[in-house]
Formats: sequence, structure tokens, C-alpha cells
Amino acid sequence: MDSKKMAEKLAVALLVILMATMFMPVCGEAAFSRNLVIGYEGDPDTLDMCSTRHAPTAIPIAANVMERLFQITTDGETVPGLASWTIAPDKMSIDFKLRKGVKFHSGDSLTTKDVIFSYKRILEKTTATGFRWVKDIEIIDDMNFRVLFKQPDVLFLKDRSFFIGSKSYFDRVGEAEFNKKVVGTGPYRVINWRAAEFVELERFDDYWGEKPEIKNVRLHFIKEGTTRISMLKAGEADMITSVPYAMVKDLERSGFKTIKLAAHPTTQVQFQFMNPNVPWHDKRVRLAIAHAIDGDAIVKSLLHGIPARVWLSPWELGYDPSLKLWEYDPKKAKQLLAEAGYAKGFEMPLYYWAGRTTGQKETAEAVALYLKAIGIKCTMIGWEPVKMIESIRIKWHNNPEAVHVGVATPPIAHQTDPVYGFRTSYYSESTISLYNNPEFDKIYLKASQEFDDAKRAELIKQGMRIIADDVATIPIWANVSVYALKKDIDFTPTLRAMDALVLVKDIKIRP
Amino acid sequence: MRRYALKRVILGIITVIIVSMIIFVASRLSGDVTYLLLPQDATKEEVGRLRAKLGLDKPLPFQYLYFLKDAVRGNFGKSYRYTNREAMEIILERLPATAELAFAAFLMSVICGLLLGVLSATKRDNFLDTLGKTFALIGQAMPGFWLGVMAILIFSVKLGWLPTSGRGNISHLIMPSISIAWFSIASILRITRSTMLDVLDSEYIKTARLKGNSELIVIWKHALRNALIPVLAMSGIQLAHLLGGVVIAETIFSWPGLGSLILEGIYSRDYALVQAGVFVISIIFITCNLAVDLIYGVIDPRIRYD
Amino acid sequence: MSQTVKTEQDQPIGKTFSFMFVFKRYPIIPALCLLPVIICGIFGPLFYPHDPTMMNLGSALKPPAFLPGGEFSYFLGTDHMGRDLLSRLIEGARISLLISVFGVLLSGLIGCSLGMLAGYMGGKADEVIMRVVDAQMSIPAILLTILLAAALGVGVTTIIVAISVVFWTGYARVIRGETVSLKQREFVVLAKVTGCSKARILIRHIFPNLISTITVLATLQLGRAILIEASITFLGVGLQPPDTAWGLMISEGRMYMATAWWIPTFAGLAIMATVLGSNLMGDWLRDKFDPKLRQL
Repeated sequence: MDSKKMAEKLAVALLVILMATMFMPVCGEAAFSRNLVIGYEGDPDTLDMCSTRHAPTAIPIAANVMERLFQITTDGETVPGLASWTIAPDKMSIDFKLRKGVKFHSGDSLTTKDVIFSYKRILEKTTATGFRWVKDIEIIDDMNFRVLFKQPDVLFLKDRSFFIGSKSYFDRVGEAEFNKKVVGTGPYRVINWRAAEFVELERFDDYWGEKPEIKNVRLHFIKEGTTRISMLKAGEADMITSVPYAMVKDLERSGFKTIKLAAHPTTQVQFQFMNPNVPWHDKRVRLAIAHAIDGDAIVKSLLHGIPARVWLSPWELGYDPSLKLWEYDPKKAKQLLAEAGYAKGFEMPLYYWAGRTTGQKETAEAVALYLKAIGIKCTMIGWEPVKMIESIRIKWHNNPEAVHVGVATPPIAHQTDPVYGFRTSYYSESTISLYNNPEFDKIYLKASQEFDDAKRAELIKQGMRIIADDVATIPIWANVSVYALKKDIDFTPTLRAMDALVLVKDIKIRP
Repeated sequence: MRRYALKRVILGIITVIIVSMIIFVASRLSGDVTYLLLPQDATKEEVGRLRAKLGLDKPLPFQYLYFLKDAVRGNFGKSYRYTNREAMEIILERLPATAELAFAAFLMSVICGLLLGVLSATKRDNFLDTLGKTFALIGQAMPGFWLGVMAILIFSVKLGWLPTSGRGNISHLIMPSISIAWFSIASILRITRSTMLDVLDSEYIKTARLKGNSELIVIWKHALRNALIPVLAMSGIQLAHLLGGVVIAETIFSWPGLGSLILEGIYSRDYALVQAGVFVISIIFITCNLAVDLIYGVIDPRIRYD
Repeated sequence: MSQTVKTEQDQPIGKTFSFMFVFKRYPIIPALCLLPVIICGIFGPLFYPHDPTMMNLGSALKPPAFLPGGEFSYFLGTDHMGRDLLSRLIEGARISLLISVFGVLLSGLIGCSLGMLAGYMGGKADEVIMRVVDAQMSIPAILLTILLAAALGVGVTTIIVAISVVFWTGYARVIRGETVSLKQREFVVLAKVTGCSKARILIRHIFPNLISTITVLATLQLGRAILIEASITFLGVGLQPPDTAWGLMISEGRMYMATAWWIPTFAGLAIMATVLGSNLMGDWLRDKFDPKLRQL
């Protein structure tokens, strides 16, 4: 074969391809008639909230499309939505009555069939944390049903019970389509969802509630914080979520509006102190560590003054103004260490969650340095979430030989209800809890069954007091999520929703 | 020739099988995903049940055999990260985006590399040549992610010329493909330059010149087509660089492709996704290399088929 | 597919200035790029202006000394935690050097021994080794490194291991080819006839002839190792604090690109200079030892 001819042909072919690509748009996609563009930090696994395994990433967006049985107002009040409720006198069951005339985006009407379908789907597909104490659901008729409990569970209510999907739609289209084109009862319906790219939503005109103002919205999934900022600055996005603290001031100076919302979680120094052979088994040592860390300086300089320095914020149930965080007092810290017999200090591991959460690494580094100043030498160990959770479950949980101090984010402040954090992170039987105090467990069990807010607040106060007295954890900063928007856009974030929701119904464009 | 091709194909298949082993072992090393799938207060029994359901309680070789059995049928299992969806389905959905980006970068690197290489060889040691060489050196030393971050800041935020991220029309392609291609442009430039220098000295070119062809035709037609052969020969290696670069560029520019997907899979310990993704990438790579080898064999008779 | 390509012919000396001649004859530029890194890497701890991990929140985000507001004691400015950037760059050089040198040595050890084995033994051993090489090379290096780093956990040691596991194939392929051609050379055949053991032939006769190739390869791999380490650290699966690494400085500092450009920029320049240096050094060595190696 003539090699030169071949090479020549090849060169010509290359040139033709080049020309073709230069003059032809590679992806012939019609321009989207844009009403609103939002840069969101997560990439939801699915918008079907009955099967998601990554609820914290998916909910803030999917809450536009699917709804739980109860609604939350922007002030964080739980109010009847798809259903209203009546609690039985013994609190072992709750009666639900569905709202009449609610339509799914598919045109189907909401009935108790959908409730059972969703309940079963959540149980089968997800970790179903919310159904921990649910025994069963009994159908009474098309519009009424009863949830039976193994033990009273106030969090079921506070979580606004669960998300509802459509059974008739599922039966018609099957699993794959149901996942791809999610149908709910929410104020917006999905037009186009592309994983890792964007979701386009359109106002649902048959929505049972108040009709929102914005008609079309496109939410882009942009994980990179700097890229989100660039989108806003370049005018590509009208609003972005989760602005890195370091860039908030810069955005404000460039003429953008920022909105701050107190949201879960709290970064704290957490002890596993059951082991009698570790120095921090001695409460004085833990107290010394608490006094050695200048949390205010960390928040002010490292986190640009944005997060909150609280056990609980004043708007939270069980807020106790007399429960204060420890003051920065290195002298007292040294004195306490000396009293405990560690005047010369000691060595200790300081685990932290490696990965992409902003502020964690920096906080851990700062903590290590403050402790160095009082003679405690920290070996920093950054582990990825998978390894960390595995180790907590296998090695540290309830183990009297555990050697663990970590900078971690078990929930305390800025949740729907503080009892939630009690349940996952401080109740000794939760497998990711590092705390074990029978007295606290008793209070938690009582609080989780107490439906009266005033009485539960009292119990939460007691519970917090016990944790603080034990110095089981040292809260350093409670997360505050920052949204940034163009000047002509108004947005009211939803308080007490646990995650920083992006509810399009609460966005308004000013003329 | 046919025997050679057949042999190459069989070798390719063996390679694919070994790739599957490497991926399988590497992804299984990375920890136990069951703890991510269960509620925070799950009991030991619940953990055990889930492990059994996922087949994680069996010895590793058995797990591999099951994996292989399903993989042959294109079934890599369900993704954990993208709930309830077939891993392969997600991968194939993302493939076009990556193919588009890789293809653009490949074209860019071949064209720019050849162009600059030829210019640099013909204008030896003058300004253009120095510029070309400097360009090549910087391209091979600059971290791709740094280039990407800087480019967004300059061209999208400061100048507002190009979109920051995402996939769309051709303007979305420019920055990510440059940030990937620069490295390869540099390599191709160097190879082209040195072969061109060789070819320009050859009898063949002297004859072409003597025949009265214009300098332009001599260089761009006669000389360049000889210089193309080594460029083609190394395009396999360039492809590996490109596919690697795609991972980083996709992350920075939020390009919805395979690379960022696999990375996400690694972060969230999604075995099915990682295995399917890396598998597809290496099959692409192996196929392309096979094609290059065969084409190369056809156009360069010096290759012996043994 | 070894294409014999001539190197650049040396310029007639009379045509160029004499200092150009010096640049061609001695690796001046590569040395200028690499020496500071090597010195910092080895003796760094002796001349940190400040403790590179010492945080001082009061003096965060100070600009470099040559900008208004800068202080001489923080010559290149400070980062968001008030740490001295110059000290961190020096410490970063140490880590980069550590990872790249050990990574390259370890992968060289594995790659060269397997490559020599494959080339000399031929047959089944050759087939098996080369198939594994092919297979591994078809997975992009960065993906495989990330996969391994994620599997083994973060830290300097794991990154060295990951880099060695990923990089050995590069050596194995080239060394195998060279060994095959050396095997047919007279002195090896003679050694075989005189009854030398296989191990002896490999170590005493073949290996010395490979040293120049290995040196060139290793120098070129240094730059790649640094780039890969920086990339995966940037992506969040590489090094983690308290380790100080250039990739980490860029990844932490990119938030400050608009307000404190010096944090990510100096680290980026340091990576570039080092990789540039090792690439140039590799080129120079290659031209010096064996122009045939152009395609490495």
C-alpha cells in the first residue's frame, strides 16, 4: 500500500472534520427562555424523595416538586398541608385527614393509596430513619388513615411526616420513568432533569396552594464553590447557594445581595471519654481543652465572622440563655491540666472529616494549634466520611477502650428540633453516638415522647445541660448557610427546615 | 495482515479482562459502603442483612466472578450514588459529553500541535520557534487545574467572553478543551518539530524543491504528510493524557461527563459506578489504540507483523 | 516502533553568542529551577522564616512585602490562617520532593526489574507482564491514582505507594524494549556462553547499559509525579492538613483568588517551575546520553 497516499487522505480527512466542527455548533440545543437561573451546590441522586439515599443533597431542590404531608412556613412553623392531623390521647397513634382536591403533576388525585405506596417505597428503598418508631399505617378510607407507633415519636410530626409520590403514576410508567420524570404535588413540576447538569422546573398551575410568582426556573448543579461564584459574577446565574464564607465579603462589595440562614450542622470537638486510660477521661482535662480554644477568634478570622457561636440559637426550642459556651482562658486551661496531673501535657489524636466540607479542615488545624499552646500535642488524622462512620460504628461507639477525640459535626444547633441531634448523636444506643450517660438517655426518651412544646423545651434544656456539664462536646461554630443573589431578586429562606432549602415559591423578582 | 489484526484483537480482549481485575480490586479496597446506606442508628443485624443482599459477605474471588459474569452482559449493578439506576445506563448517558470534550481537545491538540510544530521547524531559531518552544514547555509544566481556575477568572469573570461552566454550545467547549489540550499540544509540537527538521533535510524534499514547487507546497504538503506518521504513532499516548485531563477539567468546569461522574463515584464509594465508568474509559482507550496500531501498520510498511 | 529521529543538529558555534553555547552545553536553566527546590527540600526546616503550620489569625491575608500593606517578615504574604506563605512554600517543596523522588524511585525499582525480567526471559513471563502493563496503561493515571489514594487513605506514604503502583508501567515498557535489543548484543551472548547465571547477566551486564535510559526516564517522571500529586490533592483525595503541600495551598487558596491572589498563585508558580525544571533536565540528559530516546 502506498503510505504517502494514505497519509495524505488522512490529513484531508482531519481537515474536513476540523472545518465541520468549527462551523457547526457541537450541541444543537435550543436556547432556554430563561426566567430564573440558580446555581446549586449539590447534585441530587434523584428527585424522587421516596427513594433518595442522599436526602440532604436532594431535598433542598426536590421540595419544590414533592411535598410532605405537612408544610413548613418560612418562619419554621409546621402547618397542615396535604393533610391535617389529630394526635390520639395515648400518643400511640396519629390520625391524618388528606386535603380534598389535591392533584399530582400527572393529573392523578391524592388518596390514601398514595400514602401507603410512599410509605412502603421509603421503607424499601431508603434508610427510613423517620419511621424508626412507626409500627404500621392503617387505611380508614380514601381520605383518612392512621399511623400506629411502637412508642410515641414527636420527631415524626416535627419532620412533617413524609414525602408523597403518586401510586397511579408509578403503576402507569414503572420504576425507570418514575425516577427520571418525578411527579409530586408541589408548586413546581419537572420539565427536564439531567443528573450532574441541571433541572428545569415549571410552575404547576393546578397547585392546591398559593400560586407562586416565578414561572420557569433552571437549577444548575455546580459543586465547585468558585465556579458558582463565577457564574453569579458573570451574570449567568441570578442566585447561588452555599457561598464559601471567604467570598461573601467580596460578593457584597461587588454589588450582590447575600442572605444568611442558620442551618445544620455544628462543628465541634467531640470526646469519646469512656476509656479510663485516656487523659480526657478526666473531666478537668476536657474542661481545660474547652477553655484553651478561642472559638470567637476562629469564627471571626477563619470563617469571616459568619457562623454562630451558640449551643442553640434563640429561636430554637429549649434555648437556654444561661447556658453559655466556655470562655477562652488559656491560664485557667493550664491550671486545670495541672490539677488533673498533666501539667506537662500529653499526646492525643485529633480526627477530622476530610473531604470537601469547607471550614472543617481549617477548624481542626486551629484547634490543634490552640491545644499545642497548653501542651497538648495533637496528631491530626483526616479520614473520609466512609472510613470515619465505619470506625465510629465498629471501633468507638460504646467501647470502653476507644481512644478518640475528633472535630466533627453531630447535629446540635439549627435543626428542626434539638431532639433529633439527641437521638442520632448523644443517645447511647444510636450506633454513631460517642456519648454514654444513662441520665441523659432517660431525658432523651422522655423528650422524644413529649408532644407539648413547653414541656419538651424544659427537657431539652436539661439534656443540653447534662451534655455541657459532662463537656462531652465543645461546640465551635454552628453553620450559617449563605445565599447570594442579584440585586433585583428577593428570597425568603425557610427557617428550621434542617437543610438550606431553595424553595422557588419564596423567590420574587422585583421590577 | 489479517492474522496480525486478529492477534491484536485477542490481546485487546485479554487486556480488558486484566483491566476489570485491577478496577475490581482497587475499588473493593476502598472501604465498606454498607455504612453509608444504612440509617445512623442501624443495628448489627441490619448491617449483616444488607451486606448479604449486596453480596459483600462472600470471599473476594467469588465476588469478582459474580461481577465478571454480570459485566459480560453489560450489567454492572445498580448505582448507590444515583439511587436505583443501572450504573451502565448512567455511564452511557454521560458518555457523549465526555466524547465531545475529548474529541474537541484531541482535534485542538492535533491541529495546534502540527501547525505550531511546522512553523517552529521551518522558522528555526527565530522568534516563532522560541515562542513555540516556550509554549510547549509551559504547557507541559502547568497544572491543568490551575490553568482552568485561572481561565475562568480571566475569561468569564473579568472579561465576560466565555461561559463559566456547563455544557451547551461551542463557547462552553473552549476553555475546558484548551485546559486539557495544552499538554498534548506541547507533546505533538515537539514531535512534529523534530520530524519536520529531519524530513526537511531529506533528499525527497530537496527533489520537490528542485522541481520548482513553491515553498508553501513543499512544507505543507510534501513534508507535513511525512511528519504525520510519528504523530499518529503517539496519538495513543496522547489519548491517555486527554482522558486523564478530562477528569480534572470536568470537575472544574462542571462538565457533565464521565470523568466527574467517576470521581463522584469514588468519593461516595459507588463501586458499580466506578467499575462501569473506568471500564468504559479503558475500553475506549484500548479500541482507539488498536485502531491506531492497525492504521499505522497499513500506512507504514516498515512495521512487521509478527 | 522506535523511530530513529535525529536530534537538533548543533548550531555552528560561530553563529551564536557564546552564552547560548553555555546554555546548550550545561543545564543552566533546569538547574536554576530545580536547585532551590532541592535545597528547600533537604535543608528547608533550617531556614523557615516562620513555622509553616503556625497559625496567627491576627495577621491573616497579609499581602507580600512588595505590595502596599505588606510586611518584610512575611515576604510572600500570609494565607487565610495567617501562616507565612514563604515558609509554606519551602515546606511544600520538601513534601513534593519527598513524594516525587520516592514515588519515582519505587516505581523505577518495580518497573525496571519487571521490564528487565520480561525482556530477558521472554515467553510467558513477558506475555503476562506486558499484558498487565497494557491493561494498567489503559486506565488514565490520574483516575487510578485517585482510586488507590481513596482506597489506602490519605497521607504522604499512601500517595507514594499509589504513585509507584501507577508509574511502574512507564519504565517497564521502555526497559523491556531496551533489554530485548541488548540481549542480542555480542557481550551478552558471550557472557551466556561463558556460563554466567541469568541473575548475573541481568545485573552485571544488562543493567549498567540501561542506567542512562533509566536516569532520563526518572527525571521526566519526576515532573509527572509532582503534577499528579498536586492534582489529586487539589481534588481533595490527596494530602490533607497538617501536611503542607502546594496542591493543598492552591485548593484552599482558590477561594481567595479575587481578594488575596498571592495564596494560590505562588504555589502554582512553584509547581510550574519545578515541573519545568525536571522536564528540561530530562530533555538535556536525553540529548546528552542518547538522542534516540526522543520519544520517551
